[in-house]
Amino acid sequence: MWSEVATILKYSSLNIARSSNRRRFRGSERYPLLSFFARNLSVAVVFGVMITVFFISMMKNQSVEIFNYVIEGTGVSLGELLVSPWLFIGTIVFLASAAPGMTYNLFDSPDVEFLLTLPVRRSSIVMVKNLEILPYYSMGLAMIFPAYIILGYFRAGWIGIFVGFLAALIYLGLLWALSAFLASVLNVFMGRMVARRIATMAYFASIMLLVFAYNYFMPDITKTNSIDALLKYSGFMTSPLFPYSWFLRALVGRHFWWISSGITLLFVYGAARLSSNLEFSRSRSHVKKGSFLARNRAFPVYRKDLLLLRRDPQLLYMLAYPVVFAMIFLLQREATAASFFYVQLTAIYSGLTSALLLRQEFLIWPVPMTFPVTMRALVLPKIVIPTVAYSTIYTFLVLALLFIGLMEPWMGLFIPIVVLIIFSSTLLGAWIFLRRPNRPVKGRNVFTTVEVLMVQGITLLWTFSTLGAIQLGIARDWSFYWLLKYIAPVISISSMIYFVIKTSRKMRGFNL
Amino acid sequence: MIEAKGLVKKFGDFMAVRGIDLKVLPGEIYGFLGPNGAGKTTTIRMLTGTLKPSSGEVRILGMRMDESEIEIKRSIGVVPDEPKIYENLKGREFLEFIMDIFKCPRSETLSRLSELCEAFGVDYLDNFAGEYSHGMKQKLMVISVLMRKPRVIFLDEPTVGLDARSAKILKLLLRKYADEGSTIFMTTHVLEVAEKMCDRIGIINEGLLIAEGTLDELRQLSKEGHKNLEDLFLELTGQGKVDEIIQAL
Repeated sequence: MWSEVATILKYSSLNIARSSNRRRFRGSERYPLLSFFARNLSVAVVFGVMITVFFISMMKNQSVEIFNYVIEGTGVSLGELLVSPWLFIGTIVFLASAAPGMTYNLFDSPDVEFLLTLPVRRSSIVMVKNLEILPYYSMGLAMIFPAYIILGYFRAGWIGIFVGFLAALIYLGLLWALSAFLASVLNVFMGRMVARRIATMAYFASIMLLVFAYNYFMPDITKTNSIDALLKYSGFMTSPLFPYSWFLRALVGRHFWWISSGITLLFVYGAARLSSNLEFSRSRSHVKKGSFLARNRAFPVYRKDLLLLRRDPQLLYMLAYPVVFAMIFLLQREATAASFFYVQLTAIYSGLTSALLLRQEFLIWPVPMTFPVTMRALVLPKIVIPTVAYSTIYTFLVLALLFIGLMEPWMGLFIPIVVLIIFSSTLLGAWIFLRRPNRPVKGRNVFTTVEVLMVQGITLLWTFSTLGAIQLGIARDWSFYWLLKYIAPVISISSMIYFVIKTSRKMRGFNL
Repeated sequence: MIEAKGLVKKFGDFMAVRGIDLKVLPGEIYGFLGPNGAGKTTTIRMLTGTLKPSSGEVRILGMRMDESEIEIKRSIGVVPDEPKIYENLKGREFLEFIMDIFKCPRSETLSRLSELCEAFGVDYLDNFAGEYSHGMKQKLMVISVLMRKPRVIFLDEPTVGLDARSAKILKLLLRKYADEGSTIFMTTHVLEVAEKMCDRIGIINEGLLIAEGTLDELRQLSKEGHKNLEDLFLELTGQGKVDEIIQAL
């Protein structure tokens, strides 16, 4: 079975790598399997290693006894309590991403029909299809593996790391089996588009959850002074109702390994049986019957783009992420930092948003060229919509902060500067995209690494040289800082205006 | 009416279309045939304004493409070789978008649309286009053009993916529209379709229009006396040595 999986995955990963716009490197051609796992797991591994190293180094100075200290009346060790939130979130993230991911990738992949004609086992096809969606649940893995490894380390040193890894691996098997069952159920009533949207949203939500948890969950637990709250909390988090706690118990020696492993094995066997008998049939989502509007509406391209924006999880994520990030700072009552980081992220994302909106037209190329509108009428909404959306959110954010008194009134003057930054960034994204219109657009990333760095570099420069410079110039009282306060913003604003005028002219005469 | 004069398209050093002249009159169904890579789709894209010619002139309904592109696009309908639709739009939303962008008179278009949906068996307008099969997309694409009843219709391989009933209905509808004065330009690999439907046929090979005329006129070009379009086509495009290949296999 594994040789079949490796052969199919080798070619499917080559296909995926080539359909994305990532610059091909020789490794992906020569070692497609290795590069597949490297590509899809690198972010999770970096997160996982960071969390593991951070916790081990943080707790190393404390005595190991503290970590293994059993909280009176609960039977739960402090170590278990510390890692259980990660497992709790990791499990939710995994199930929320993997099950819908499997639904759309397994039951409605365009190549499944072809794969079924090959002399390979059905279970091999299922395995490949599950591995293909690795990026979706990789963030779940980034939370689950460190939790067991950290607990194992503080329990039994370096050997504990291995045992912790093993526990994570078995738990992963259980999660996979549960996801497969869930996917089979979801397939009954969920169409491909809905499943794909949920899977992508869950993936992005997991990143947000990770950022949130990293900032808030752990400090809250360690800072709590209420014994009752702690007891209640530990009872919930390490409840045997959550399968992750079985392996936690096994790791700390309060539970037999064979029980948890046995149950896992049963589930995996059941899921494997299920997967070898799957029908791979296409399911249609249940839909409400609609009706046509009786009259034509104005601005059809704007309406269509807004609808597509609303339905594209990646675009929604890019609208939501700066707000979530700002909220993290707001929870710490850091209003200036909240607005500054919102603008920074927005500046980067607005360029990408316009490129992703443009991508929608290129995905159905040359159909848009048959529409009776100019190229300008097709491109303009992709610049206007992100600019208006991000600017409106920023204006509301500033007004709210002014209203609750977390921001000084003069900072309201930043609004027009921010609108200019967002507009310039959006235009920059669109311009970079249209410079190479025959780029591959089927992958999730529309820009090459160099283009991403270009967008990030230029937009960050604009943000730092305006908002950053003004804030720093005011915060410092040194005579030298007048340069930052006045000169840098003037130069930056002038450069943005120049860029907007010049690029708008270029794009006016643009044709494909 | 469709008119092309000295139409040339170069992609770098490669010349895909090497000077095509053609004229299709109102009420006519013109079949544009050629082997794979002959330049059919490139030509149709230049005629529909989706690709700029390297040189030459295109006139549709008497208007020059380089001068009145938008006006021309509003008057024509195009069914491309691949039915591509925004995946995150439902069929109904896509059709509404088409009605809005082409500024179609709503009530007239809607009544025609409901008839077309019934005829083609389209009952999936509330599903997302991303969930459609090739055939379902093709039907939607055909309907989105026919509901507007444009004066000039371009179809690139329109029967691919359609079931027998839908293909038959499409063929009859195109004939009806042509009889009512529409100009129809279509490419197809199904030579029986071209033989039965088209009033005139043009054959393109390696970017050149090598033969043009009614079926009878094309028959006269055959040195080997071929009568049916398939043999005629293979002879004219230099692909006639099929028997030898079959023997060798």
